[in-house]
Amino acid sequence: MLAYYFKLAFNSLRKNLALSCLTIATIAIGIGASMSTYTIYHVMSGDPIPWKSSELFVPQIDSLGPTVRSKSGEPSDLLSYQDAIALQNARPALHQAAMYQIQLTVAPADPNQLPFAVSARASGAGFFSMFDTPFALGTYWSKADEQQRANVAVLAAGLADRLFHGENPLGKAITLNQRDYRIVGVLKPWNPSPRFYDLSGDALAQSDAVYIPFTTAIDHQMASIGHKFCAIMPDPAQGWQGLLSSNCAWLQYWVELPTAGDADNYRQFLQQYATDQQRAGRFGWPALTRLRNVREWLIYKHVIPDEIRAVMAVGFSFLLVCLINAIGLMLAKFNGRTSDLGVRRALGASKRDVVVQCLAESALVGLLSGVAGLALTLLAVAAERNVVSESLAKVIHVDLVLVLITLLLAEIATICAGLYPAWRASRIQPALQLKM
Amino acid sequence: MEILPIFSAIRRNPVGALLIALQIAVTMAVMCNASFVVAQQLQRMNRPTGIDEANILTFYNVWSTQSGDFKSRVQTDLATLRSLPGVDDATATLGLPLRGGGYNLSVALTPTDTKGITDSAVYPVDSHGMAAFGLQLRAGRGFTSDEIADLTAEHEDPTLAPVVLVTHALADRLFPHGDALGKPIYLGTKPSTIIGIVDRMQAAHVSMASDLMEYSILVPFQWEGSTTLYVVRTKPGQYKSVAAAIPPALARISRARVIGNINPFVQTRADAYRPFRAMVLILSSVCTLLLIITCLGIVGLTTYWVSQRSRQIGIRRALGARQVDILRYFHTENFLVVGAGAIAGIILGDATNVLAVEHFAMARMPQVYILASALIMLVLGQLSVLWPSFRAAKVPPALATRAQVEHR
Repeated sequence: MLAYYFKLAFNSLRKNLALSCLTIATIAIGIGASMSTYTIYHVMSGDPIPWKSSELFVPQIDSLGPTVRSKSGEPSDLLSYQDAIALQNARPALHQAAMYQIQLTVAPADPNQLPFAVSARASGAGFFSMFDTPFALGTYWSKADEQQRANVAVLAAGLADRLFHGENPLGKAITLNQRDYRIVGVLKPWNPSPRFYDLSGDALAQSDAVYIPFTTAIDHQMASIGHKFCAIMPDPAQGWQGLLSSNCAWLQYWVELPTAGDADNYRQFLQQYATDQQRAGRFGWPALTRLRNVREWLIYKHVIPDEIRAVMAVGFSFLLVCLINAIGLMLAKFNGRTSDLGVRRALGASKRDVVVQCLAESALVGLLSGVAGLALTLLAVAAERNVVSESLAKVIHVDLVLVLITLLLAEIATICAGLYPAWRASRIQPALQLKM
Repeated sequence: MEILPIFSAIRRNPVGALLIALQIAVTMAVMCNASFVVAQQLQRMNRPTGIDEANILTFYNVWSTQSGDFKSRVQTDLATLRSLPGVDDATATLGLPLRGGGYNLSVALTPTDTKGITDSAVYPVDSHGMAAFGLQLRAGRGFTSDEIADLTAEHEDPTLAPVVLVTHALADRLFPHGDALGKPIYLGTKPSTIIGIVDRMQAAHVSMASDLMEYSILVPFQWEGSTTLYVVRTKPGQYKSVAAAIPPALARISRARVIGNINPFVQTRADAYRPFRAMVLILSSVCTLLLIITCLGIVGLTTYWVSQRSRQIGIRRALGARQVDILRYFHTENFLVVGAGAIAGIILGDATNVLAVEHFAMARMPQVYILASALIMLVLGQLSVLWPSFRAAKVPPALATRAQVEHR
């Protein structure tokens, strides 16, 4: 029966070609506008590490005090060196890592190539096991390397290609800031988006090109290129040591706590630690700590700007207007078909049959609108790529989930828009149409 | 006027009128809010930075070594840059308006107030800083070369500046009576005397807050670190030749470095406001499409009504109605329907703005946006109905005499 309805619907589309095309175009434009704005939201609201996002945590300890705290009264996102080291030693979790971003110059082995600067990350080895970074070659450095402050490095895929052109770089040296580092591992392309582990600047920024041990970077006195928050500037006379012993917050810190129990225990430990610091006279304010997992962290850090939500709201209001328009167009179409619907009623079709027949036609229109809407979405996203920020342009794309959402949304929206016209059509008096 | 028959016609078949009114209401709510956002973004994008935007080039210089005598290296670099043909002046700093970097410190009027009155961007510059940025001095004087101290990664405390230059906006915020010159301010625990007031210099990071964006302080330090931002001000129109001359000139001094992209400030501005521009473009194109769709909807539905009522129109014509009466009928009808939609749109648009103020950091929309969009809707409604009503007026009176005509 349904097949018959679809055949009828198809015939009706052909007969009312202009009106049907107009309906399809209207809905498709609405779908294109709403889905292209939704695409940006979809990209930014994604979970960058879905299999682990509830097990990775950022501990926050207020080492700056109420004068530097933001208006929201939350502790700083970053930890001081003292606190990071203390957490590492006092409470080893399954994995953890203190990290900060640095800038390094790379001198290619080929003397004809100019040196260039890359953003790099000084981090504990826990980084790689916590975030499940995929290795193409080798693996991360050892505990011994960290203890000896060895000059070892893990390269991102892009830099390895640029320097070694497909040769195996393992064991070879890379010259960073005029020191040779032994390459122990090469990552596969890896760009979690948003870059949850470091949201201090652009949330969609690319991952770093080189990773070196945290201890090595500290030993070489490599300054952070990220933020540094100080309530009191460290004593200049003490130089690098002054920064390390200060309460300035400048390190990202992540821990992996596999169970809810682990997280609760860690939370208690954190509060106890801060309270101890207050008692010891380091903090002149009540202990303030937080422990947020990846999802809570992304929400707290407000990764999706209000502007994106506002644009999305405009996109979906547009779809609403298009649907209202489509209702009008469908009313006109079904009204033009009163005679043949009347004949069907007179020949014994129930009101319900007519409603189903009209809805089948809406479903067909919905399907075609969905396909056309998808094409428009792809076009609009391509256009968006030219205007949005470079980092967003790199990650914005229409994935399979978005394709399905687009088709489904078009289908549901069109059937909803077709409900009232279908009901109207079913109320045609059969007798009236037979008088002709 | 024939308002009553219009009402009864609408009452008999209210769905079409309702659809148009609903469309108008939603379109209007979207349009006034979106155009308000667009206007705000445009206004933010057009804020001047206060520096000589047309003639400034900036680039990062990264030394390949972590330590070393950065002081003499920076000084040699600066002397070379200043001697290049076409260069007005150059300085070394850490941050730039719209490009980020530099410090952000709280400013207080007493040494004990650690919370401060406001935050401000802080740029370390040498005695060439004012000229290299192309800043306008409003009062007082700039730094002299003997006031410049060293600022290094190991000795990094910009709060220790004995003298400072502040922007006019910041001076007014701290000293509302206009007597900032000569007064001490506290970036840390030591006083810094205001020796000069700069007309305008924006903070390094693009911020939505228009007041914070204008608060900047210059401190008399020569930045000597592994990463330096060089600011070069060229003579008018010569930035291309200067940009080409810089890398070889600096490479001749030392090759143990990486020179980043040499950005004309125009580029820096475009990059900084790219997300703003994207939002303006996306919002305005969606709004334009929305208006077109709404107008087409009105054209479509009215055309449909005309075809439905062609018999009645014929009868009216046969009974003596002139063509202009038919025209007036449809235009009045459109005015009533669109007007009803616009009234709903005023309420909906305002409610949307209230929601946006509550949930997003949006400002309250001035009434003029709502009224202007209501007016635009009414005008567009009248324009959209021109063609269908013209068709209606052309319906021949003879049509009334025919029995039943399907007219589509």
